[in-house]
Amino acid sequence: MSDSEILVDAQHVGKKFCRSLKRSLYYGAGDIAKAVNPFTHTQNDIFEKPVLRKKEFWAVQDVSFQLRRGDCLGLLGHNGAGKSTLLKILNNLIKPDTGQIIMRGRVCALIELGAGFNPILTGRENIYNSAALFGIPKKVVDQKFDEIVAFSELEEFIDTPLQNYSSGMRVRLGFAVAIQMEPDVLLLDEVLAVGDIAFRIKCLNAMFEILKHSAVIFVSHSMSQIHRICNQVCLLSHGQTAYLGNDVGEGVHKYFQLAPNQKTTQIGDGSISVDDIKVLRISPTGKRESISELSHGDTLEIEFYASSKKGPVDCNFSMVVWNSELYPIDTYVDGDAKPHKISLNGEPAKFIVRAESIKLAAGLFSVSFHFTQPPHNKVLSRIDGAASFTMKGQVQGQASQFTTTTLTKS
Amino acid sequence: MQETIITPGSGVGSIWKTISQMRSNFPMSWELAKRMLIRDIRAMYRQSVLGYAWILFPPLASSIIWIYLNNQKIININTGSVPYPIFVLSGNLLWAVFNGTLSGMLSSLLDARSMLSKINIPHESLLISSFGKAAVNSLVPLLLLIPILPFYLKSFSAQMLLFPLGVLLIMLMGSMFAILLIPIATLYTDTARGIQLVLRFAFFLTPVVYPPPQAGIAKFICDLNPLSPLLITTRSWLIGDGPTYVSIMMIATVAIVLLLAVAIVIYKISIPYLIERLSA
Repeated sequence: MSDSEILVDAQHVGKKFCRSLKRSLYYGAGDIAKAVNPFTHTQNDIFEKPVLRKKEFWAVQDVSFQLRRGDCLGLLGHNGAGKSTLLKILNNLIKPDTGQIIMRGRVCALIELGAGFNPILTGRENIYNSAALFGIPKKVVDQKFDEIVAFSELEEFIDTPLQNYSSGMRVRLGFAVAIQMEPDVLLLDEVLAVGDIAFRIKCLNAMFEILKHSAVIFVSHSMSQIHRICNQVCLLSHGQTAYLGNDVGEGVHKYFQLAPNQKTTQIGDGSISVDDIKVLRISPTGKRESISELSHGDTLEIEFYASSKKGPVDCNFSMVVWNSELYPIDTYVDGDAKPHKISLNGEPAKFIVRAESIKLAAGLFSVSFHFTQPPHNKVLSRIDGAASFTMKGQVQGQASQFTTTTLTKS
Repeated sequence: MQETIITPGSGVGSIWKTISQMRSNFPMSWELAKRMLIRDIRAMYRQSVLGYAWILFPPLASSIIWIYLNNQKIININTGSVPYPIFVLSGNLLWAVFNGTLSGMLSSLLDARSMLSKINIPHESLLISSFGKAAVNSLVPLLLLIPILPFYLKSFSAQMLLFPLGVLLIMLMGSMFAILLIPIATLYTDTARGIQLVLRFAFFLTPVVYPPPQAGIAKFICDLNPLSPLLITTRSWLIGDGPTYVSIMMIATVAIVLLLAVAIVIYKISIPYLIERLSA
């Protein structure tokens, strides 16, 4: 591929921020004074790192990547990893402290929909305002006005003041305008994560259209969207690149590895205590390992000890698996789709839940245990985040399965 | 294809780059500024019954107070052959031109704060649209003079044609101060508060409701005040009486235009640093 097709070329981009407001403002004033002074020496080497002043830290450090037309880079990272800062630098809103970015063509950023809307004006007036901010000339808006309104499905309310719109309606209007742009480089920050399901699908389809002829940088915490849209992943951790490459599955896997350990929470009357929870992976060849990273088709075993603090009790046990977006993916029950029946007493008894040949999509899964008492299913104990495991591999989306588990008491 | 290179650079090179960028962005800035001005003016009084009449009330109310005080001999201001009502009304309106431009433009960046960290727009357009807004707010009240003037003035002179020029110069001076102060005012709220305080005193230290003092500390302060010669001369042009400082006006024009250009470049260069500190 020729060099000219590279639309975004970021080299060793770094940005420092300051933790204290007063100092930050003071540094800001100093930086401005330096920038407007024509006698300031230009930094000879833009790749050389300046020293950190007191209370400063690197918010983004040494990030490099290249994007060609048709590429979509998923920017991953946990809160505060530096994603939004990087987007602001790419959008030329703030200057990097080191490095260089070359952007070719028209750049458009959808960091928040509806920026610049005025609540007292009507939807119609706000379409023109919003379009002007994106640099769309009035003539073009005049031509495309009906198309914009049709996309937003707000025909009825177009002459109503924006302050009477619901938040979903505002987003529709914002997206309908933004989609009219024909950018070469598009920066997207989680704007798709709002609105009802029908509109979200519409947005995604519109995005795919733009994707075909531009380079996209997409920030999202939704791994299923990353899987669907991106062909490259850049994972940021504390401002540094933790993974950069074409293997989206690997990037997502690393993202989950960086996740802070989930806390276990327990609700119910607390009469049942569970200890020593262990996750085991059993490969198709029969190898048992005490690790929580599974591949497609592996068998999962979870060991735990349970006891009843209030004397012997007969209760039901089931296990629910949640994905990272907190959708319950599967409920592990017995062969008749009913909870397992167990008896507990004061002595901790060892249990093993075995789910054969797990076929879930790649991602991080959290396990919760439910102990309920018949006949009215009174919750004795519900332990969320009892254990977690990750699935590796290329399987995307939210594939789910209904599995029968076996529960053995030993 | 348009190529943007984003680097940490500063110094002479980046100053020239900024200027050429502003020049090439100008058509887009103009279009956007127009749109933002229309938006702001439409939204300004939509939630009000009296609407745009509110533009007229403040300078009118202020003038009426002074006319009342002078009429009742609570204060005694001698404006010679010029009737006090027209003297104080024109002075007040010119003060409002300066005051409105300075405070309106000073807050332009902070008002757009929520938008700045999300969309990249040519930021000069904020200046143009806030200048336009200040112009509407301060020039519309000047129309009051058209029906009122004939009551007080015996004759019209060719000098009156210079009046709009004087008004423009006062506006440019207000915007020059505002744009020079925007970077520091955006970082520290002390600036805007301080300016409000200074303006409150400046109203009394500038010959707005009284003619230029002839002696004493008052004369010294009046001579130091850069607004005084502009305001006095412009008013004299309108009412055909009073001192005019034509040579000072000419020097002021050159100085204001030059400083304004410098201020705009400083503003443009400081924007990324301001956004960084506002939204970090």
